[in-house]
Formats: sequence, structure tokens, C-alpha cells
Amino acid sequence: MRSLRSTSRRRATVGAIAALALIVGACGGDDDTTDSTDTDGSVAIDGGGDQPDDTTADTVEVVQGGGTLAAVKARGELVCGANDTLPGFGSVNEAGEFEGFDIDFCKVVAAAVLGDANAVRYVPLTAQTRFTALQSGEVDVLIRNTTWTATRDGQESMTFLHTTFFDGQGLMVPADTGYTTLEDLDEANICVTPGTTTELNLSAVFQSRGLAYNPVVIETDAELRQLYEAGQCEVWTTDISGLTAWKFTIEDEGGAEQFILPEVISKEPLGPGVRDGDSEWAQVVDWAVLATIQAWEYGIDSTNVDGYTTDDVGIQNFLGQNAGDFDPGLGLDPDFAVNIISQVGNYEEIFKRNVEPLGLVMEGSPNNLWTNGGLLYAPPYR
Amino acid sequence: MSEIDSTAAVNELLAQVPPEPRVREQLSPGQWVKKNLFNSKLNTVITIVLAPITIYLGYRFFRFVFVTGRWEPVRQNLELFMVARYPRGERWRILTQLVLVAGAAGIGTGLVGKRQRIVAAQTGQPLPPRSWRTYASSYWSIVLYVVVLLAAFTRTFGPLLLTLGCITTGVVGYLIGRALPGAALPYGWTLAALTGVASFQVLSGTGGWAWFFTTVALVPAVGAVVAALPANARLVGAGLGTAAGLVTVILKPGWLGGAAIVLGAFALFTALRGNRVDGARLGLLVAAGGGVYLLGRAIGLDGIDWANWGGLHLSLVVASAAIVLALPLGILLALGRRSKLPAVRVMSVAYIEFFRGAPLISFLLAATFFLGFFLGAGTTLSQITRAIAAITLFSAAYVAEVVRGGLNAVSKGQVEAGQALGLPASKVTRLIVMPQALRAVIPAMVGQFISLFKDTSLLTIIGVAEYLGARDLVHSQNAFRGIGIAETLVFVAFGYWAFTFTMSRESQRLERRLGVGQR
Amino acid sequence: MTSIESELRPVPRVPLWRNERVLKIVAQIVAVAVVVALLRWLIGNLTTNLNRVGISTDFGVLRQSTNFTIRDDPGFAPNSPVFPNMLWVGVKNTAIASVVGIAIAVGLGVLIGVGRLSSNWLVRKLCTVYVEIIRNIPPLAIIIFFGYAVFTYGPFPIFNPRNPPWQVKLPGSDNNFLILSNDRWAFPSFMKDGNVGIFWILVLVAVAAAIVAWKWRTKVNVDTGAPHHRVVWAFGVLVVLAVIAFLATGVPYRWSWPAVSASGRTIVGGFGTNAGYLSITGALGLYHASHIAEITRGSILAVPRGQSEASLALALGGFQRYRFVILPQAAKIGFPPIISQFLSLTKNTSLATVVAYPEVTSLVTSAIGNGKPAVQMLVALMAIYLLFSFAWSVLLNSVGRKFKEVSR
Repeated sequence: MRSLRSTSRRRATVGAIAALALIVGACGGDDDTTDSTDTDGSVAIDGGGDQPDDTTADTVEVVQGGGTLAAVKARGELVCGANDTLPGFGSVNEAGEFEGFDIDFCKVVAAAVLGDANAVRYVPLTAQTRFTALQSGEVDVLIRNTTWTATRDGQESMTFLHTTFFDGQGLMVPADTGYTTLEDLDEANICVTPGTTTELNLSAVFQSRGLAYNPVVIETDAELRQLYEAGQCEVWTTDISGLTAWKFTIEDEGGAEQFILPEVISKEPLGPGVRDGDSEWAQVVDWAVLATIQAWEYGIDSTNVDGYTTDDVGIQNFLGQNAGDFDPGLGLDPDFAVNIISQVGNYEEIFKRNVEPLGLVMEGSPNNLWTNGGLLYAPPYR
Repeated sequence: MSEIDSTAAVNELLAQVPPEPRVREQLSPGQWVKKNLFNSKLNTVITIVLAPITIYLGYRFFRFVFVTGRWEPVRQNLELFMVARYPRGERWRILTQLVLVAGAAGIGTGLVGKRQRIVAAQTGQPLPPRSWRTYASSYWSIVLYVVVLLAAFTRTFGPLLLTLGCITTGVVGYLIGRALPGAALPYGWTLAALTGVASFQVLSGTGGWAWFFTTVALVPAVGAVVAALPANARLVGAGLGTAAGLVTVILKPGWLGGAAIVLGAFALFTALRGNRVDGARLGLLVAAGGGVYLLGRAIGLDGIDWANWGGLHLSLVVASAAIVLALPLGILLALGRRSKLPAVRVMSVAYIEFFRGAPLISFLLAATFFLGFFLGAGTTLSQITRAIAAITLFSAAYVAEVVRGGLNAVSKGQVEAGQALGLPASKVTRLIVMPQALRAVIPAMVGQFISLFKDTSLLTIIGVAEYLGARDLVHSQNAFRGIGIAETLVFVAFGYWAFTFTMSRESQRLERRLGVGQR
Repeated sequence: MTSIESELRPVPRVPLWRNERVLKIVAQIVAVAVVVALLRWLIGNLTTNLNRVGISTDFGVLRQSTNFTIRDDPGFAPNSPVFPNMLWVGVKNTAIASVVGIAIAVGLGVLIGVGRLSSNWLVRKLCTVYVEIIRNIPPLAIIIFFGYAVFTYGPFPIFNPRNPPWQVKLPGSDNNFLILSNDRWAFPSFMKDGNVGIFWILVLVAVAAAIVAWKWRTKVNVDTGAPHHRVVWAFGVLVVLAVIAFLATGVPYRWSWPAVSASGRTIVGGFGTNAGYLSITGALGLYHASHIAEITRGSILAVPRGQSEASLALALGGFQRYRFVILPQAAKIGFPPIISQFLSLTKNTSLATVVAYPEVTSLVTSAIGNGKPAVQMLVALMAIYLLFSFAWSVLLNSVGRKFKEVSR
């Protein structure tokens, strides 16, 4: 009996150790000894060499810290964090395709880096989960009507690139209420999305005016719209671009007429953002976006970019026609601008395609070339 | 004396009274109404007040369902409710999965029936009587749901064909299971388990950890093979395991190879020390595991991106995956909680109380926001994988409590009898306590599965469009804004109710049949 | 007797590798070491990744200001820190919703549970239908039903300055007894109107007197065998003394009737609630009532039939049978599962994010979305729920001790 007991105890111990080895090994992943994804900037790509054929894309291999550019090129696809419920900026059409202003800028980055504007995988994100998705590496770039603020630069560890849309926060009410100023909205129910600057601005502005309000905080835009149209909240607040989009959509679908209060209660510069700590990738995205503005300034658009000839050396360099002589060292192909313009278009085309049908105009707004009185000013490609 | 006499006389008299036949009272409608509705003053008042209200509410409800309800959002978007935005080209995976699941369920049912017949033949006891009525009383809700779907909400013949295919496969599987001879039953179980694992691999691809689950499914067959081998061949079997381990460690150095060689060597060691059966089992399993892994790599079926998955299908698969993964962890925790080693007990209690103390949504939020950060730099997980991880860890605590109840229900006499036979504690637990405990907790485990299935509705809050959350997809379409809000909600609730009602009835039936709680 | 001693063999020393005590200790050390190593690896990864991305890992961020306003809480200043102010508001709201939800669930649940055993066929069937349907659908579906199908799109009027809500007035006066609308419901309540401190001190004195009365009646019962009626006595003493105190301090409370505010958007006076609060309490009350009904029915059925038959043999009437024989035993059986239903309801209040009720989970989610680090906030959230669980399990254990069953 004693032998039985000791045998089984030994067996149990060894079996337990073996099982633990299995489990800990599973947790640790099948890393080869040369696997180095440590964040010393090395461009080690965990390309699934020994993960047992993990072709199920439920785990995505990405590299943190340095090397996003190399990872995107190796993957052959850009992963873009986007919105899927905001008409005009990021939404899904009947055929299931993503379209919108921000979506087009995802395509711009893809065209610049990979040469193919359609080599993008869109990851729809809510306002609350967008920063974590970027921080954890789930997406390479976040283009989701995100406002550039100091806290996001710092605490959220984002790096913001050139603003693509200068906006402000506004409030929308049904037209038949007759409200025109903030003072009319004392103690009102205001529908707001959590995790946005709008939530914080509202609080600050109302407090400074000595007014009270009740935030009704709903995460999904679809439900928010239901509450607003059913009258449960009297006011809807978000960026004016978003309000214009919703106003257009509501009225277009036969809803009540809407009125956007003339008061703009904050500055909301919207633009693409990437993770901190990867300046190479940040520059690439930045100059891809700037190329659209620069092309507009040069008068180049998708209709005339192919076969564009000029004597201006600056434009020639911009279009990559002097590839041998000029290379600014950004890591982009010489003809990145041509790819962008021919496949997606310049800034004006992107704006007019997506945003103008909703009723937002370029004239008189900051979203215009600096030569036309706006704020869009691309540094020289020199 | 007189008392004894009179008692005897009374008994004699009583013996002459013929026994009253037990007959069901046949009540006329009038008598029935009087007995059941108006049998006391209070009941009369209640009936008079409630009856018109009930009739009115029933009328309004049927009017809502059949006349005034706007059911177009459901009819037009049935796909969204079932599979959300699953890519069209990959729908064959879901169809194959459903058919395979029906097949596995059929084989399993057939095997259970066969085993009952064998046991009945051996012990001479009659089979428990079963009529279609018993099954109907549990399964009518699912049948109703499928009928309503097919009759009212589908627009093509596809779903009808799918249902017929599943029924056919299930019946064929049942016949196969019933037809197997007694000696071949373990192979039948392996077949059922393999079909089940294959049904999941159709979705996830044959990469990743699929080989592990396939190997687990092979356990009954390996056991049967080893039992049939002569003694020397068993030694060879154990040796095969060591060889397989060696090969693995050469091909794939790393933790996996290390574990394989350790297990293989342990198998050989066990066999050489005299326990050839266990050694051969382990050895053949290691060898089978290696073979399955290579086969999986050879087949190389891709999984697909889980990002657009959703609907009722997702709810069912996530609940099943979570309970399957949570079971072993829960059993370990329950055993740990009962352990005599204080350190192990404290750790198990800490885990269980922590995961039972906070709501599931907080764990889902934690998984969404920072689960990826816990793992090595460089891995990101899809939303659904994170959700499954959170739900698994959460349910393991509840499963542990359920299993603990079962372990407590096994009477101490069993343990003492095992000790009297000289069995060591591990064997007592493994061979005597656990089978009885697990059998006793099957109803409670089904109850846990029911709550898990209902809890998958929480995935809406973290942005996964499962069955309840598919409503958001429907109502964000232009045509259905604000239309049919209550109708879609009623449809979703009906779907949940159909499945959980069946499961709860089945668990009640199992509880009665297993005689749990009766002493 | 020394020969016996000399015949005793010395106990052989068990070698270390087979010594059970040593093996136990070694096994525990190994187990703890493995778990500690695993935890260190996990948490090490977490801190490394967080540091790399630049998110702070210390808990001091909980002292920063919240920066947003909370629904229906005008006293909350946006620059109050997350800990303790925002979390305290969340805990308060969770507690209020739980308590009211539990009250509804228990009241309704016990009624329906007893109704399932009624001799009236209609009552029985209705209760069965209720339980079998509500028990099997997810609570989130019921919450969404209340929040959207009952309130948002429901029959109640929209509440804004142009649309007055339904105001149910007291007959013969202008005071509102009840205000119903799409978003806000209001009920009458009390309001301070004088010196309440003295009143409450006098109430404490009344409570002490009631306890004295209770003990005195029990003593009378023990000494003389007369029926004690102690509940009636204690309650009566309490009520009489409280009423005297109320009148003597000059009626320090008066009714507060709800009214629509000047801006037409909120309620002044009375007890006003919003649709989020009503949705979560109503929905969870209904859902957990179905579970409590099942528990009630199960515990009443679990009382051995012999008890019922014996009480019939003693010629106890129906009400007496329930009150003296069946319900006390059923309560003993049913209390632990009912208290775990209370815990479950408290945890289910976390689903109120979908109806915009600012309980602790939705506040924490908002804070995370606005830049507070997720790890610290979620750890705080789990700690709060663990405290709630701890409170309920303390209650469960004390009740369980009182009702300890004698096991055979």
C-alpha cells in the first residue's frame, strides 16, 4: 500500500509539473529563442514563425513602439481605427463599405505607404475604446473625428498630426422649440456621448455661465439619436460637423426640422493620431495628409495628376519626378503623392465628396487654403 | 382482553372492505370552474377582478403580435439577428458547423440510449419509460421558435433546407449511435467528440490550439485501443509516446516540445514500472497529439477574421466555448477549495470570491481595456477573444461553487469506503468522488449554462453585436429608425426564452431522473 | 511492566522524500511559487506595456478632477476629484437603486411565489406564465424594454417647457400627488420645517421604550404564560411615543408636493426621479421577482409534507398553518438563496449604462473615456463591488447562523 501511495503521489507530482509546463508554455506563447519583441526599437516582427499556423486572425501580430512603418509594409495592410456611425465622416453604406471624410484619409495613408488606397482594414471604435485600441497596438492610426487636446497628447500618449478639419462644438435643438442661446437651455436634458471633449466642454461652459443642465450619457449614436428624436433630451451636442451631418440626415429622412445654435462653445481641431514613441511613423502619416493640402495648393487633382508636367522643380520633386535627385528621407516612396492624388484625390476633392453634401461649406470656414483665408497651410516639400 | 378483541374485530372488518379503486375525478366544466376558480370567498373576488384584466391583456397582446405589430425590421434583417455582419463568402462555415453539431448531438444521444439499453440488459431492470411527450414538454419552445422563424420571417428556402439538413444529420447520427455494438461505444464517443471539435474548427481554422482539443477528443478511442492490445504491445505504445515526444522536441524546440518529451518519457517510465495500461494510454495520446498537430498544419484551413461576427450564432458559440473552457478550471478550483493544504485553499477561495464579487460587465470592460497588456508585447486580441477570456474566468468561479456543492453532496461514507479499500486520496477523488459529484451537479451546471447564455447579452455594452446588440445594427438603418423598437425587442426576448426554457426544462427533467436530492 | 517498554520498537524515521508533512509543505511552497511567478509575469507585462505607452500606473490619478457633470446631481462640482467624490456619488446611486429594486423584487416575488401555489387556477397559471417568461430572458433585455419601449417611445408625454407632464392632483387642492412623463416622475415626500434634532432624539427614546416593552411582555409571558402580544405592544408604544414627540416638537416635518420648476424642465419639491432610475429599478425588480418567486415556491414545497398534515390534524386554519408552521420553516430554507439574489441584483445595477443612470459602473466608464487610466479606475470599481458583496455575505452569514439547520 505504501508503494501504491508513493507511486501515485510521485506520478501526481510529475504529472502536475508537466501539465504546468504545458500551461505556462501556452501562456508564454511558442516563442523561439530568437524572438525579440522587446521595445528597444528593433524591427523584430513576430511574424508567426512558430505560432502553430495561427492563421486565424483573431490574434493580430503587431509590433509596439518603433517600427510601425515596417510592420505595416510587411503586413501589406493598414489597420485604421474609424467611426462607422457618423454620416459623412465615417459610416457604412448599404453595400457594407466604409465611406466618409476620415475614411478617405485612411485611404490616403494607405496609398502613401502601400501604394494601394484599398489596402485598409477598418476597425470601428466607440469614443471610449478608441484610445485603448491605439495604445495597445490594435490599430496603426486613429482617424475618427478625434480632437487634439493637451491631455490626449500627454496622458493618452497620442501624437496628433496635421488637423484635417477645424471644428468647434455646438448644440442642436429641434427648430420648433425656438431656442437660440445657451441661456434658453437652463436645466435642460442634453444628450452627449461619453469619452469625448464635448462632455467636458459642456460642463465647463455651463458652469462658467452659471447655468445648470442634465447630461444624458449614451454611448452609441444610434440610441442617442432615438432619445433625441423621441424628445427625451431637448439638446444634442457634439462637433458642429457632426451636428450638420445629423441635421442633414434627420431632415433628409423625413424627421423634424433641426436648428444648430449659432454659439460655438469650443475649438475642436480634428485630425489623425498615432501612438507616442514612433516618430518615423508619425512623420509618414503627417506628410501623407499634408500632401493632399499641398496638391490642392498646386492645383493638382485626380483629373490632372497623371502625366502632369511642369517646369517648377518644387512640384517635380513633390510628384517624385526627380526621384534620383531628391529624397527627403521620410521613408516614403517617391511617387507617394501621385498615388494619393490619383487614387483618393486632393483635400478639396475629399472635402467636396464627403462633407459638402451635408451642408458644410468651405468658404469662410477655417477649412480652406491659407491663400483663401483658411488655416490649411502645408509646409514646403523641400 | 376486550381491547385486543375489539381491535382484532375491527381489523377483520376493515379487511373485508374492498379497496377503493383510484380513479381520477371526472369533473364537468361547471364543477371544474367552481372547484378551481370560485372555491372560496377570496378566490371568487380575485377571479372576478383578474379574469377581465387577463382577457383584455391577452387580447391586446395578440393584436400586437398579429395585427398591429411592425415586423418588417425583423423580416428584412433576419441575417443581422442570426449572424450580424459575417462575411457572405464565409457563410458556408456556419452551415457546416450547424450540420456537424446536429450530427454530434445525434450520435451522442444514440450512444446514451445504447448504453442505457446495455445497462438495462445487464442489470435486468427495465428501461425508464419515455414517450415523445416528455421530450415535447421540454423542446416545444425551440420547435416553436424554429417554426416561427421559418414560417414568418425567412424570405428564401435556404433556412428551410438547412433545418431539414440538420434534422437528417441528427437522425442519421442517432441511428449510428444506436447501432454500435457495446465494445465499440468508446469509438462512438470519439466520433461524436471529433465531430463536435470539427464543428468549432470550421469556424476557427485548424491552427492555433485546435490540435489540443482534437487530441482530447481522442481519449476514449485511445483508451479502447489500449484495452484491446496485448501487454507487450502496450509497452510499445508507451515507447511510441516517447518517440513522438523526441520528434516534437526536435521539430519544435520550445515549451511545447519540452512538454511533449516530458509526457512521453513519463509514459514510458510508467509503463516500465508496471502500469502498462496507463503508460500506453499516455504514450499513444502524445503520439496522437503530434499526429493531429501535423495533420492540422497539413490541412491548414484558415480561420476568418472574427471582427464582423455577431448575432444569435455568436451568443451560442461564445456561451458554449466559455463553459467548455471554464469546466476544467472550475473543477480544479473546487478541489483546491476543499484541499487540506491551507495555501492552496486560500488561493482558491481568493479567486472564487474575487470573480463572484464583481459583476461580469466590470470584467468585460477590463478585458476590453487592458487584457492585451497582460500578455507579452506584440499580441493583440480580437474583441471576441477578449470577451471569451473574461467570461471564462468569470464562470470558472461559479462552476467551482456548483462543483463544490456536488462534492459536498457525496456522502462521507463513500470516501471512507475508498480509504478502507486502501486507495490513495487522489484515486479516491478521481474514481469515486468525482464521478458521483459531477453526475449530481449536471442540473446545476445546465443552470449555469443558462445564466451564461443570458450573460452573453452583455457583449452589447462592449460593442460586439450579438443577438441583443444586433438590434442596434437594425435600427441604425434608414428604413427602420424608430420603427419596430418593441417588436425587435420581443423577437430577441423570444429567441432567448426559447433556448433557455428548453434548457431549464431539461435540467429539471434530469434532476428528477437522476434522483438528486432524494435520500 | 518494563518488559513491555523494552519490547516497544522505536518508531522508524520516515525519510524526507516520503514524509507526508514535508511533502505537504513542499507542495504548498511549489503551488504558491508557481502562482506568484505567474502573477508577477502578468503584472510585469502590464506595467511594462503601460510604461512604454506612457500611461501612468500610480493611483494618484484618482485624486484628479472628474471634469464632467452628473445627471440629476446639481451638487456635484465638475472639478471634484474622482476619489472620493465621483465614486461616492456612484456608490450612493448604486445603493439607492439596489435597495428600491430589492424592495420591489421581494414584495412582488413573494406574492407571485405564493400565488404559484394558490388553489385558484387563474392565479396559478398567471404566476407560472410570469415566472417562466421573465426568468428566461436576459435582464438587459428587460432594462432596454423599460428604458426605450416604456419611457422613450412609451405612452407618457414628453417633458419639456412646451409640454406639461401628466399631473395627478389631490382632489380638492392644487397640489400634485403624482407627476408622470417621458423622463421624470415625481412623488410626494417630506420636508424639514423646524427643529428635527429634538424630534429624532425623542424617537430614539421611543425606540428604547419599545424595546423595554418587548422585553417586559416576554418576561410576562415566561412568568405567567399569558400571551405576550409583544409585537403589538412594542409597536404600539413606539407609535404612540413618536406621535407625541412629533406633536410636541411642533410638527417638524410637512408634506412636500412635487411641482414643475420655473424652467419647465425639472421638478421642485417632492421626490423626483428620472427615467434611467425608474428603468433600472423597475426592470431589476421584475426580473429578480421571478427568481425570488421560484425560491419562495421551492422553499415552501421543501417543508416536509408531514408538517402540513400535522397542522391540519391540529385543526389549524389555512392562515394559521402558513403563519406558524410553514412560513417559519420555509424562511429558514429560503433566506440564503434570497440574499444571494440581493447580491445578484446589486451587481446587475451595473447594466444601467444603457439607460444613462449614473451608477458607479457608468461613471467609471465615462471617466476612463475621458482620460483616466483604465487599470486604476477598474480596480477601484471592482473593489467597490467586492465591498458590496462582502456586506451582503456578512448579512448572509449572520442570518444563516440564526437559522442554522440541524443536519442529520
